[in-house]
Amino acid sequence: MKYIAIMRDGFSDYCVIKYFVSAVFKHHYQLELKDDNFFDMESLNITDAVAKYVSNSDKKKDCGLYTQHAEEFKTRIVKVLYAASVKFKRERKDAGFSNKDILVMYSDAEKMLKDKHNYFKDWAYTLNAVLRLSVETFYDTMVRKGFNYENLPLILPLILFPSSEILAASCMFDFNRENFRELKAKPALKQKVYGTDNIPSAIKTGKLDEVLSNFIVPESLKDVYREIPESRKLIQILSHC
Amino acid sequence: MFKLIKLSNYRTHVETALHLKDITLIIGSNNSGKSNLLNGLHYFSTLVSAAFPESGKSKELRKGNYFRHKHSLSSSDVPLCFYCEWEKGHIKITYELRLYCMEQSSPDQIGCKEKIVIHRDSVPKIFLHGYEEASREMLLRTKLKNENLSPDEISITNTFFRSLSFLYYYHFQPSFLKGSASPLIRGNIIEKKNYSEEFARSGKFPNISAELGREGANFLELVRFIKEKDEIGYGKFLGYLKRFVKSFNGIIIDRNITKWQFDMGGNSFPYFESGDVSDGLVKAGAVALLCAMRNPPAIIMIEEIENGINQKNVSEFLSWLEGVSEGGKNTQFILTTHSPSVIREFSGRLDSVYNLHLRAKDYRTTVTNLNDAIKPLVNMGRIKEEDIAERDGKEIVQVSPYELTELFYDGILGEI
Repeated sequence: MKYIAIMRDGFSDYCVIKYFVSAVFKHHYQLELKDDNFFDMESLNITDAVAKYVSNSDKKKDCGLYTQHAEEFKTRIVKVLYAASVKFKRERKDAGFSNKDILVMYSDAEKMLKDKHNYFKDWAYTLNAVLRLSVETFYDTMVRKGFNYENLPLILPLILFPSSEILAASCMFDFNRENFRELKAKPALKQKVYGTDNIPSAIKTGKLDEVLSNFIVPESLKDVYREIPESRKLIQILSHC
Repeated sequence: MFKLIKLSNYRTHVETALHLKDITLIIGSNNSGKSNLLNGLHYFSTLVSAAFPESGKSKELRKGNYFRHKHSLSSSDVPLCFYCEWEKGHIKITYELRLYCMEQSSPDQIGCKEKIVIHRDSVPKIFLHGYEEASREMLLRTKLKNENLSPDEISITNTFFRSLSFLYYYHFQPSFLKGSASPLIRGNIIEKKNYSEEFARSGKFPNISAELGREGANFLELVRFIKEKDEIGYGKFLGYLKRFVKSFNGIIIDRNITKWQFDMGGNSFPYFESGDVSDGLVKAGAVALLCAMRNPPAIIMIEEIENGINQKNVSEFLSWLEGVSEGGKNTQFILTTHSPSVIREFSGRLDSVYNLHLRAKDYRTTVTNLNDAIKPLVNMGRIKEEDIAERDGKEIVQVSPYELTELFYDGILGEI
């Protein structure tokens, strides 16, 4: 059985990523993933680490890959990944990760891109780059601990600007008519997607599930790929798993 | 001093072992089994207490002794077990109690097996009850009276059983401590005692640990008692609380009501009824009362020690406990917490911290020692190799308090 573990901030992020991954699998492998295939990392997340890194990069006006705050960020991410492997192993009664499993390491950037092409500017892209470097450092650490690739998951970092609702929005709306990249995560973007910025209420009323199940579907993947450059590599990799 | 305790098949604790220190800290998310653990220790302690030959209580085990406490998913042929290792000087005692369902067809019959081993010389002395012949009564302690034990061994086993029997569990609630709420027994409010009058009648000091109550319902009455009848105890109590709140000036009894007085400088000494003082202060008062006791019990367990306590006062609080404990010789504490401000105080002694997780699949609590769990992180960034010290032949990871706090907020501490 393939497991897709998801590291996230809020529960709505977990739902967005779950529907998104499900849509890719359904589209490319005609495989219907069930809830049992997904593993929620719950409170174990990289949100604070991302926020601290973004804040330090802004303050020091330096978003280099090897700055001190980037090193600190990388260290925190490696530790989080280690804790994720411990949690996964414990919850699955000592059966740890395998290379058939996927760990999506997600966080909101909490910053607006304003234009999708800004994703390629250093202030936005470095965040993704440091995360990828952290994943490689984690693999290296685990190899030194005696693990090999068969006992480690495919770790896919994903940072969405400004939040996970942008992915849902790309499936729902025409981005040529309105620049959704200029909307703040809260309240504007959440209200557009869920009709409310009160996420607990959207979960309770079933609105969140209704929106995501209706819109994040295989047919929308092209829209996501076109409008959300930060999701492209994830789509490419997931469609070759 | 208790060195090791184990619970098996007790509620979510299918197999739990803790090496106890002077202060042992239990962390874990809600519903991870922290309270179950403390309840379990308290439960077996009360069983041992009732089995005192002189206690006059029934030593026979009943259906509820087993079925109300066993793991909800285990079958009735799995015994419910408690095991401990205790040391005093060069003598070590191990004690094991197993409760089991005697006949699967007749679940009313609960049997017990007790085993005590006294390690004094090279050949340990073993005493058993309920092994050769099934027994429904906890009679090991009674049987020991007829065994050929030296006066030293009699004394040490008595001390051991007394220690195991006097193990107290608190979850202080401000409303109880302030006297505005009371526990109910069979729907009835328990009448408050006047300990000073009882003392005058009987000449016996109240057992403060027992009388205080789990939520601290008799706190005000006991404070009044020590003020009136125990000058040394009251002096200690006052000393602790003055360290906590500098302006605290003492307790006054005004028209039969316990009031808290403060020194505001000059001639100003306002006093307030308990309902008007802060929750943190009354909670600190309850802990100060325990620390001021003449003969503290062997183990004091306190749930959520940080509730109502400012972060700055947490280290003060812990210093009281350390002082009273005297390295575990006088008493030992088991604390639970959800707060990083308490956890960070243990950054230099992570071997005293246990992390509990409840595994949803089999409803089982797993326990990890934080020192062991954090060791793999040594090479992962800032926790460097040179941050390992050696204590009692064990490698102890030294983490700075802020690193521990960071691990807590990243959710790492909760997962390892």
